Amino acid sequence: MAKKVMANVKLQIPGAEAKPSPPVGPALGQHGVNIMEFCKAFNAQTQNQPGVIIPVQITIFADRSFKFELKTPPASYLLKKAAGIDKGSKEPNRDKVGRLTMAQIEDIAKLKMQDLNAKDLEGAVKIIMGSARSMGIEVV
Amino acid sequence: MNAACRGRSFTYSCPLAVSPEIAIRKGGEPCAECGAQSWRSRGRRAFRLRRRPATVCRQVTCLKLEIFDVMIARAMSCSDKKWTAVDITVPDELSDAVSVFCHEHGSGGVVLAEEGAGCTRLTAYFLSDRWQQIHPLLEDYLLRLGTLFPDRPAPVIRTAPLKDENWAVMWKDRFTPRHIGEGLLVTPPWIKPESHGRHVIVIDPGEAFGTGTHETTQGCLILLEHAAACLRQDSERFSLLDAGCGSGILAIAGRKLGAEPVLAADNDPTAIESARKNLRLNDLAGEVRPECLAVGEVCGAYDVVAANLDPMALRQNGARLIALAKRFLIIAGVPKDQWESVKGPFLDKGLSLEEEIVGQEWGCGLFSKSR
Repeated sequence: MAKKVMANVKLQIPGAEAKPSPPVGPALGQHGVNIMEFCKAFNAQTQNQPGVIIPVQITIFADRSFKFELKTPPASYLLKKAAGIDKGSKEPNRDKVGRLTMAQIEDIAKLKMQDLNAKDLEGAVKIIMGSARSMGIEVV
Repeated sequence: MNAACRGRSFTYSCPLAVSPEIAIRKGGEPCAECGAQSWRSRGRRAFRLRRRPATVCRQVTCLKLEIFDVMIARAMSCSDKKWTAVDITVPDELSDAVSVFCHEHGSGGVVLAEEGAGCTRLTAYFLSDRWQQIHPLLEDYLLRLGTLFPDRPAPVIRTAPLKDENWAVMWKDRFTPRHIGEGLLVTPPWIKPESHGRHVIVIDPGEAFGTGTHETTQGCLILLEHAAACLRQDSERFSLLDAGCGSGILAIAGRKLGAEPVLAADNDPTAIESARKNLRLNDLAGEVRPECLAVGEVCGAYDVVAANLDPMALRQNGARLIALAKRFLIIAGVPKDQWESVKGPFLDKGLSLEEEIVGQEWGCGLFSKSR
């Protein structure tokens, strides 16, 4: 059917744990979206990733129907997996907790490219390197 | 409840759980999903949450829906919470790290928006008393991150109080019963309005387009009503194809106006699932056939074809839609400024324009084929 987009909302919420409280409630409630339906559908689609932060883009149409699209896992998640660490550094400017090669950074940048605010691969690599540094991961 | 479920203490993971304990209340209304008449009261007995067993019957799903009601009631009773909305504007490179920080400190997620100039605005929500503890930690963390990127704009924090609302149900205020045309009444399932002789169409607003609030849907319903009135002069029954059915609203309206058989086709499986749900809500589960089909895959010919699509789909499938229609073709979903260019090819192919509705933003038309 004909669809006119009223709003796009980007969220990062834990898989299988969406609920009507913030941030989902205020973000979608202001647009009159059926929040319970979104939570149920999101939780069903992410049931195999409980607790993993999942980026999701919700497109809201003029009649307040909606569709949502799950995006690639956040760069922080991919960086931690690649570096084999559980958590980033609390003092990233001093304590380094992991190390990655430039090739690994490029692989992550390629994977995240479609979801990043970057014009080309070079821009995406820059963002991923920035994310790595902000977590205390060295790039060698 | 079926035998497998009867008497068992249900233990499963409720995806919307707001508490490690839940209580199941006594049910009264028949279940909208499966028609089960009632549920045995379990009083305020609490159940430990655990992952849902693999063999869950439909009735358990219904029970889950009822638990949602309980959770909504609980949410309503928690309205004394005070939240702080925290906007954090950071360079794109830092957004992931700050998102993780917020998550690890209890925000339950963040909302992201592009701010331009390579910056992202993250909005996190914290309970206000908790925010007092987190605020210095966040400032310290952002300061440390800032030293890593001295040439990038420094992160900025803005806060605003947020009143605790009953978000789980407040969106429902936007949906009210609507009188459409001469004899149709579209309502959400939680309101049971007086019909006053109108055909009541129950639509649960969700993931599929066609909630009844949009100009194109309303225009289509009015034109469908007029086509049905015309066809009923010759015969009690007429066949209908709802091409691009979305929520199934046109198929449901058509069936209530006397159409039989009715095919509700959409190439989006989510829309078909939504249409099935709405058909059950209208007690039409066996009377309308929902099918996951593109327009090009639909066979046969129908007295009325309703195509609330978009200009490109109408241009691409115009010939096919004309071939599928025996008497009337309704086309809609066209922005007002494109209406003339979209309707032109249909007139060129020998159709007559019986009626058109050009509203504030959208146009739709009822075309007839010469017999």
